[in-house]
Amino acid sequence: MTETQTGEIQVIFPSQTQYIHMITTMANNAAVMAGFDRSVAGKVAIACDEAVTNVIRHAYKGNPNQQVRMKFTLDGEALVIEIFHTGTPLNKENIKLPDMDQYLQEKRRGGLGLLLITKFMDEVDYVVGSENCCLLKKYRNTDQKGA
Amino acid sequence: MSELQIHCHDKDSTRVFYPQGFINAHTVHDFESSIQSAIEQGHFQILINCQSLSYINSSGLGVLMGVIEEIQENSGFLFLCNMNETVFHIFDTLGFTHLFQVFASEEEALSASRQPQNDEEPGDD
Repeated sequence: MTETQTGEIQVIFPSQTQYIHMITTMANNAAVMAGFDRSVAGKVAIACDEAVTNVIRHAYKGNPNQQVRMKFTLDGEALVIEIFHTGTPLNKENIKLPDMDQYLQEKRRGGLGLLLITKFMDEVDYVVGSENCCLLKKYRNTDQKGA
Repeated sequence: MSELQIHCHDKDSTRVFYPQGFINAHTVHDFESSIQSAIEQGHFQILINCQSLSYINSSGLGVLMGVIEEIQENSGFLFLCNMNETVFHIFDTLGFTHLFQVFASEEEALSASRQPQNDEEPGDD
């Protein structure tokens, strides 16, 4: 009989791209621990990569001297990943995901990170506060359909 | 081990790249330099063998989008092969498999590279 793993991990790291792979690996491991198969764990890892990259590049505008705080919470319902920062918040009202048919036809470049996050996670939210937060959620026990 | 190593070999008239590691915001400049350098040398027939590529993020996809037009204008191609599940999901989810032909093996990709290229969009096969 397997017991449902629950728990919480927090990590704080400098706003530098060299740390992104460590975070991606951590997200992958958290997803495996949550019971997701390797395919879904890979998607969770990529969503985290994109979210953290956005914080470093856009919220902090490449300033390497800021901090990113990340919290992984594994509860009975889902794997919740929160990425906190004090840079420029992302206004979710202004998010416009690209139409991929048009995008590929026009051979555009960039702007795919938010779309990948949306496609690979079950829920995504951007919360503005004293610390801004990008919240990613992947539900457990959903048969991993379309995951 | 370094985060991204990129070796390349010329096979027939195709330049085959072997990225080893991962392509993210930290390593994408090395990836872009390698591809861009090949194009500047006049190599417009490019195959990326993803056998040792653990993942690629949207920065890496941006590199491919940035060169595909020039490659096509020069009657070349940009094929990919040996993708792991994560890499394939990224391409497939975004519809990149309609713009870039993806093959199961290097042999299949090189075999296709010997066929005359045309301007049609690649199929779903």
